[in-house]
Amino acid sequence: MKAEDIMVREVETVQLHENVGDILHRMRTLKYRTLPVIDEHGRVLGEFSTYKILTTIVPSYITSGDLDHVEFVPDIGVLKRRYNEIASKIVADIMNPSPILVDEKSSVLSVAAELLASHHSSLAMVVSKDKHLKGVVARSDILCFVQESGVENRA
Amino acid sequence: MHNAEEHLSHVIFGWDPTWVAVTVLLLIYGIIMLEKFNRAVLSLLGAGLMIFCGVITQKQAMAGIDFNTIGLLTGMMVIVAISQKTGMFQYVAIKAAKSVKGSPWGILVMLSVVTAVFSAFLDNVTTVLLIAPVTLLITEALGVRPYPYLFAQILASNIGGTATLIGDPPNIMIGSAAHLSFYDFLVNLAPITPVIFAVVLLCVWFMFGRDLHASEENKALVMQFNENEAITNPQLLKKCLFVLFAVIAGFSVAHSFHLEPASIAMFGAAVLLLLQSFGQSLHEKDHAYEGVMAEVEWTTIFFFVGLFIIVTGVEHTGVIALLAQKTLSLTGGSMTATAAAVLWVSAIASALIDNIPFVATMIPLIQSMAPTFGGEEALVPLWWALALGACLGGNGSLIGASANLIVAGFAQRAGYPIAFLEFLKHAFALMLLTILVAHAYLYFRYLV
Repeated sequence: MKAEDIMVREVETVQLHENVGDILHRMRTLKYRTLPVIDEHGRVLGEFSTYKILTTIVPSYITSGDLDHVEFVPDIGVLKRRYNEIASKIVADIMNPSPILVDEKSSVLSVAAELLASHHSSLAMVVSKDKHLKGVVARSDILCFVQESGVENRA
Repeated sequence: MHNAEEHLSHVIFGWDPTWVAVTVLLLIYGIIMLEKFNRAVLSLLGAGLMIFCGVITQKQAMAGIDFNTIGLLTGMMVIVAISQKTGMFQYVAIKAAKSVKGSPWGILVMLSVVTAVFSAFLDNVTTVLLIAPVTLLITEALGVRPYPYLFAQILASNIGGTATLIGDPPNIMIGSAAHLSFYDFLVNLAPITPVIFAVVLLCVWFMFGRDLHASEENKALVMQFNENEAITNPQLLKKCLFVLFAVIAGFSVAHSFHLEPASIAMFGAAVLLLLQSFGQSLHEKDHAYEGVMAEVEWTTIFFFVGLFIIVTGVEHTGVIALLAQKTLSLTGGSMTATAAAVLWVSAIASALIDNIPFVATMIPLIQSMAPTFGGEEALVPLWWALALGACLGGNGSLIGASANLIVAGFAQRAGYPIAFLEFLKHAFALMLLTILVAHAYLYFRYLV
């Protein structure tokens, strides 16, 4: 079984110039965690994700420093303050420029392995040779496939 | 001292060993300054060149490595690697910030004092790495810019490190080479550091302190930080405190028992490694042990090993003794002038280059002055001048000491970059002022 067999073809996408706050609203309504960022020709430029927004608004001195935890810190309003700073920015400022890209002919096993190897991306983008977006595969798509087909088809 | 001719025949192509050794030293120090390559790799390459070119034999190289310095550094790194997981640093920092009721200037002073005290007994880099995130959280709550706080902490860590034998690598090297004990450092350097620290804080007040303001609401927010939540593992904390105090007490009495500091630090490290996972399964013990070993800064350790060999190579050619003679002829063989020269040259050099290779080179230079001043005991003021110059000089620029670079890198990632020139503008004059205070102290205590 290949990526093209299990991928979702109808994909919600965003473009570079769109407003971060607007997109976040859209993602919450549609319950999406990750959206592909594409150019006007449908080529993948990156991904826009709730993960990336969170890492932008949680100060890096908390996540990358030597603090094991911050339970001792009261609500100092830092998340809200930092979100307000980025809400009016555009997708290009916040997006992750190196999402997981897989080929239409990639095996489902290799897509699953790619998804596990990445700590921050929950979506693999299926692209053609010239990076045109063909579809996406999420973890749940793989699980859906294994549960329904029972045994992985080697054909 | 070794004679140059003795080695001449061994050096490849019949080159002059002095030129080979000096070229290797300058080349390696020069490339280290470029900061394009890892300094441990460079120093080990230099050490290899000294041996392959025939300047020294492997046996002489090994004899040149000061294993007392290496052991003390490694032992303390292990103890710190275990202690930093306990939340002890965060606890003390928050407690200190709350003790001044959230006043912005009070917090700056308290966090600097905490940094200085921790730096006096533990590694400076670890101290600033653990205090800086808490500082940023507190300044975020206060709504003030973090630069003055981080600036003061950089200075505090280098000043605190000056105070004790184990505070800063230059002191470890000097203590080891000159047989000066922990107690000697405590009696001779610790008294002046609070004065220097107070002078610096006074300047920081005029530079930034008087402009720091926070609303009552924000001060109240700081009072809501809960230091008790910072302690992650009270059991481990008790073990760490026990070993830390035992090791420091051990350092203080080591001299009377003819023990070297490295033995005490390594023994303390071994005891804490045993205690930290006592009662756990073998697998858990191994896991904990591997984790600690990974935290030890092997880069620094190997850097020292290579450096000691490079300096030994240069020393064997007799060029360092020659340089010492030149220095003495410039200062007219006067102790007062020589101490002043050592202090100021060390300070300026340490502001611009890594103070570790500088001190490694200065140690044999000062040692070879012993005959002029009538024996090794007479050199003591020079050792204090070197320690004060090399440690305090690190405050002169952002590249002056490892702690400075670590804070700058950290501030950069946190979105509050510290500009090289801005730091230089504020820090260089302050550094010269601290050297002036040190100069007065040296003069009145040892040279009058």
